[in-house]
Amino acid sequence: MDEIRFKLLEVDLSNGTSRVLDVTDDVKTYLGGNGLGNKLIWDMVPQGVNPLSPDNILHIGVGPITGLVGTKVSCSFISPLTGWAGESTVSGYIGDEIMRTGYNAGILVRGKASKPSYLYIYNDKVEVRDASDLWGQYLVKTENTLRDGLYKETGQAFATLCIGPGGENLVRFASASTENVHSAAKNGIGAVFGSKNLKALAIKGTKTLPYADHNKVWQLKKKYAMHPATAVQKNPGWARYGASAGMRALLNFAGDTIKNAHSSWDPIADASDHIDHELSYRVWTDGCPGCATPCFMPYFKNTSHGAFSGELRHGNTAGLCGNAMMGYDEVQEINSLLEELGVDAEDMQGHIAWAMDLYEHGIISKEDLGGIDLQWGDRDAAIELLKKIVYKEGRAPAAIAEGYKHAIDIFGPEAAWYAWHSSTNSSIPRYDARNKKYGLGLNYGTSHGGGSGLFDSATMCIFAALAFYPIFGQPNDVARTFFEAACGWEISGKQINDILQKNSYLSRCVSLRQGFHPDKDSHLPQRAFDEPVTDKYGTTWVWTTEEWEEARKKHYVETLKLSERGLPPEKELRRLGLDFVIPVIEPMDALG
Amino acid sequence: MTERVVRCICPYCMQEFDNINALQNHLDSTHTTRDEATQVWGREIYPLPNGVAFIDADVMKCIGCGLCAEACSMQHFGVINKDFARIYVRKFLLPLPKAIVVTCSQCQEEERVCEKACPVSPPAIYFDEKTLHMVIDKERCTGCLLCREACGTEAIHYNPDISEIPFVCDLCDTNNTGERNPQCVQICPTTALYFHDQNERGRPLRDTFRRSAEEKADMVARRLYPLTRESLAFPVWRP
Repeated sequence: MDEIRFKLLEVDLSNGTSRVLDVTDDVKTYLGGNGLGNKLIWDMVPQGVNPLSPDNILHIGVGPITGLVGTKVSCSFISPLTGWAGESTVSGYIGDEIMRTGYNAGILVRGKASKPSYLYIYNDKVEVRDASDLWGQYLVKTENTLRDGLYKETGQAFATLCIGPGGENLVRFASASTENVHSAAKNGIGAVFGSKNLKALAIKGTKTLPYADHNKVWQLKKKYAMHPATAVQKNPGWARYGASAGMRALLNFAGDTIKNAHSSWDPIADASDHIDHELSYRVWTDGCPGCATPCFMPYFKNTSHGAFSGELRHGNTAGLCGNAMMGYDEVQEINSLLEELGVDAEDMQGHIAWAMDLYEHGIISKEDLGGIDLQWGDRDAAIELLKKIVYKEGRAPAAIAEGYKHAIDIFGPEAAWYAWHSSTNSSIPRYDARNKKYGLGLNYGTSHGGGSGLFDSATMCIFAALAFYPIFGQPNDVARTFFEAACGWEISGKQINDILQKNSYLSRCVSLRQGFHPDKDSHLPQRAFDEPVTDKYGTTWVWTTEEWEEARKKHYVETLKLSERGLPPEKELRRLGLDFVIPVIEPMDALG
Repeated sequence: MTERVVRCICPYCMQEFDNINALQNHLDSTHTTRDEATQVWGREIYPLPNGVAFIDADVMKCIGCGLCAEACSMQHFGVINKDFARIYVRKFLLPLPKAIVVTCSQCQEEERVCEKACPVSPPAIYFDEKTLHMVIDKERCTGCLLCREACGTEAIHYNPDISEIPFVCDLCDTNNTGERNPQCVQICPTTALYFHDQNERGRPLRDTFRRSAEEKADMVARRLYPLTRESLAFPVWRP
């Protein structure tokens, strides 16, 4: 049988040309998704590039098993939020359609279009088309206009990945969405789209995937869909409540951040719960192609002051509830606008809560906010602020739109203490960084924002994969089983671990080359050491400096396999075939 | 023994009968045809004929996984490709995303517009009374696609990549031997698909039956009144 070839579509927006590259060797070395994306960034993007310049690239990455264990699309680029490696994933039909166009290594977008455009890909037909009429529109209208027009033209339902006004106005935490509510949210991918004048991708493929053995793949899919473990996964709560079941799971255990992380429990948040939300407002259940354990629960509510719809997921969108002191009712309403504007819900809720905190303490004034009286929990004020941030109107909203680090420079050093952000310049929405049991302090404090690990490189969806564990074993084994059926590759456990280790190092090296250094960047906000938080049952959590340093070292060495300073060790880099990074990062004191 | 006290009254013309058999005979003789005099609203759009098997697709349960379409292409062509399937799932944004599943409903004789549209005589697409499903005769089909245009539910599919003639749901009875075993129903993880065979009616029929994807989507969209497809909220969020 012929070996499977991996094709990458390269589109240059500057002159509207495209070509197809064979990257089979790279895919074998780095897998797809973010692993391949980081290699492309390393090869193609100049050191120290401005993320919003045309030199930045955007890799819409799929991999060999996209569509088998979820349809994650893992996008790689230099992040406008941090300036380092950026990674953002999105589910939905888009991954499936990219695979079926035959570009099974993804789409690489370079350059900058001279006017607002969208990228049209229908099997082998690739065009950069004018999108002047869509520019400035909100997300839902953009997507429906585009899809309806293309359906009339071709008779096919296209998958689209669009940006809203957030991306167009280069808000640093703008997102790109597909099917209205699946968002590639993190690291400011929307601003990269916007900087390239790219309003949307519209993709449709009708080809048969070049699986090594269709029957084998089908037997695996069938086993998954009909296995009792899938049913167990589906029945008690998952099918009914989806990912919103975790809305307040951590509330009683100091896992959620309340009132800009000054507290961990609040009666308003405690009075809202996912059961009320789902029973009252869920309209139906929706999933991604190939997934038998759907987790997408759209809601719709019709009230005397308007109708609102969207989706709340734990932490991401529902986090606004605690952080800015509102109930889920208000959050549902704000969320419907947030989706339309195309900004990351996690970052936006953190920034709104921060602005409320600064306003309360007199660090920013009503004039700074453009006349908004921003009190805790004020839904209307939050909506006003949201719009102003996205359109960068007024001194404070315009500063906030550039992210925490930039805004601190504008607001002054006293604002820094109130900023509750991770080392990657984004909000800490939940899994409170101080909580050592349920929290993710080490991740928030040591991350550089780039993707790493199996789920990013193999483009697996963690929610879909949950059901795979009882059937096919641990995540690596799941991936290996599917690689064997889909590509005919026999990968041993050690080999796949090496590939993942290599991708993790390479991702960190891209960040290091862009100016990230753990010594200056990898730390928690000062409040994690100064301001303890107490859970509902009286346990108090806070870091001491010694404790943090020790835990961080342990995390670097044991979990991330780095040196004690958080730098990739030279010996390991050479062993894994990443020799080419050493001459670049060595002069930067970035070799462990 | 309790005496049976049910009165046998025809629900359509209120005529009373002595026993249930007489009522059944009356229903069969009077209220099944479509002529003007005896036409009864409901009967002609919800046909409940004897001896028909079909796949009932419940749109509200459909999650859009597309495994049904993949099962179909696997069964008939041995490859995984949703575009080679006789059942299809189309994603709508209403504005919330909703997957709509559509397949052939093995219509009654009067409603079988595909059969009537076929220019070949006797029609190359026909309902096989023995095996109880639609069949396209490979020998006689000319590939004119008039049947596909005639079908209001878009249930007949044509894909030149895999087949020169259109294809229609045959309930996975590929050799036309009467062994119907729809693979899509087997794999559907949410039981959105249900196989009504001629002996078993485990589920009531619903009004989305014999509708195209667009019509089904319109019906589902009513749940989101007053939202329009322009915005996630009403009043509409506008730039």
